[in-house]
Amino acid sequence: MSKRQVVDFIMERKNGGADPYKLVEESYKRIKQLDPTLNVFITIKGDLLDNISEKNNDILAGVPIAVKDNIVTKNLRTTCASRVLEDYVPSYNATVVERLSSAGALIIGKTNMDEFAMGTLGTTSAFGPTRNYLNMNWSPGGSSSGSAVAVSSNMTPLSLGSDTGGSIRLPAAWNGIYGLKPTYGMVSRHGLISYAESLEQIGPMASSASDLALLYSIIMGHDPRDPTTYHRHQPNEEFSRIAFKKPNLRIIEGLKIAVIKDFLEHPDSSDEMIKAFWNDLKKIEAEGAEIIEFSVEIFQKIPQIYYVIAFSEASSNLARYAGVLFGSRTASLADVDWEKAYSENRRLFGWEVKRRIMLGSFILSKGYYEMYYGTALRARRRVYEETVKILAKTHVIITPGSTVPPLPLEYDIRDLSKLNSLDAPLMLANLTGLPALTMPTRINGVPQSIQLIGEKWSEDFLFTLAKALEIIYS
Amino acid sequence: MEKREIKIDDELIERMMWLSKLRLDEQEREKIKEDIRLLLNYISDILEIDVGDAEELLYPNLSDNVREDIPSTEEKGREHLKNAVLENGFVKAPKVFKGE
Repeated sequence: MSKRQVVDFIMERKNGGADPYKLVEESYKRIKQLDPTLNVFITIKGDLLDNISEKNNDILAGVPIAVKDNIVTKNLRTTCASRVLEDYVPSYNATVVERLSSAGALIIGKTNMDEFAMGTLGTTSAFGPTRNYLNMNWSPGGSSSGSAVAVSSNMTPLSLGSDTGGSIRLPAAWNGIYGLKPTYGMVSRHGLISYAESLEQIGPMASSASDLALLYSIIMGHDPRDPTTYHRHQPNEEFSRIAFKKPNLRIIEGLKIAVIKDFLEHPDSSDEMIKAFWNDLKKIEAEGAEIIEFSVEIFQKIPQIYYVIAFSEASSNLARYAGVLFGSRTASLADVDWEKAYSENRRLFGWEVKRRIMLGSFILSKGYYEMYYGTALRARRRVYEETVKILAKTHVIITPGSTVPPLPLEYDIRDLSKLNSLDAPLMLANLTGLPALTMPTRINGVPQSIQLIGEKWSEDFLFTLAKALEIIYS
Repeated sequence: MEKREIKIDDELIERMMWLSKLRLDEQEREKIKEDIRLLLNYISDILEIDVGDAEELLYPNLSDNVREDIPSTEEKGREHLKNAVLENGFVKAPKVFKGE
């Protein structure tokens, strides 16, 4: 279930035994074999083998990585899975891409996703949906659908996703892999094409806690180009040390775990998944942990608070797509009224994006701004305060990675209230800015997973705990 | 605050289209009325939350992360205009002024 592919490859290389071409060759083979069916990639870079040097000692030398297609890559098409950016070729690299390249990693392609990261099932892409490798009838989860399946199908050992309302963690849960939404401000968003900028973070996806920590250590840290990144934080080396360290079960002795009853007792949560979750918790309890239950009424409205903020920010962030500075142009710019030109170009947005922009614009308009947006921001503060109170009494909040089994691809998501039980535990981390790591506990049959939410800057603790839990669940 | 009934009619849809600079045809307008009704009904749940005297939380890390006010540039502005329509060094855009 847990595969330390990259950490083991690096150890092999240090001992002089690794074939530097091995991982990239295997990736290309798997992509050729599986991508026509799984539809993981929107753009593939076919020339990586020419860029491998046997003398390269960079830590990620020879390691292929898939990057979600809302993260800009210089001279490599970046579409956000939208017709609006179908032919957009960026003139710069995102900071995370620069850091990966400096570490020797090879970007093998840009992965499919929900359009502009707006979606839960991976089905709003203008390039067709990605399929779940574990079961072709299941949704792979969204919006980082391609990045999740790239890892679960062994096309690449590592991938980057982005998480605005669970978009790394839900695909991780439904594909039996590991994903982290970092503390807000720990990973630069410079070069992440914005959906909702106060909620989203780029994060790593991998097939083990060790590989996850390693990838995080490369991309994290202050960036002067992103003013929302922290100036002071743990050194990157701290996390690469954790990646290579042996796991230790002692971290579980005396661990105080918070469990939120509102998420588990939700009428739409699956009995089977909740039962499996309690079994997973009992295994941790058996190693010396203590479970403390909490109930917080406002947590039941987390998704509603999230959607007000996300729709509002989306309407503002996507206002730039009018065909002037970039993007597809269906209307000529000459001798045409600007409103007509903009509206014509913006017809290229998919339905989900359109309805979110429209509602967001309405929420921010006169007469409704304070009522909806103002209230949502104050409710966000209350959610944050309640969460911090819980973490003052415990070490970690643990929730199911998903409260329902993977939904079918054709599930109707028109009515977002139907996803309330699924959304609430995930969106808690985005509203509060706290780090959250999802890891599998079982992948035979319906994949089971748990989500670990820690205090601000506690990624070191989450990785160390996840490595210990891997032993219990293996 | 209690939920307030907002009428989802053609006028509201026209206003939303104008605000968001999106054009929908007749069929799409009918479809979006139902979507807006569902979504607005759902998010209006927040109006029942007692937020007390809580202050707005805009960014999770705003209060503890301020840099020195020193200007800097990477002088890459011109590169980023590669995807625009350029004419004589200017970015071409549609007409804004309708009058003389």
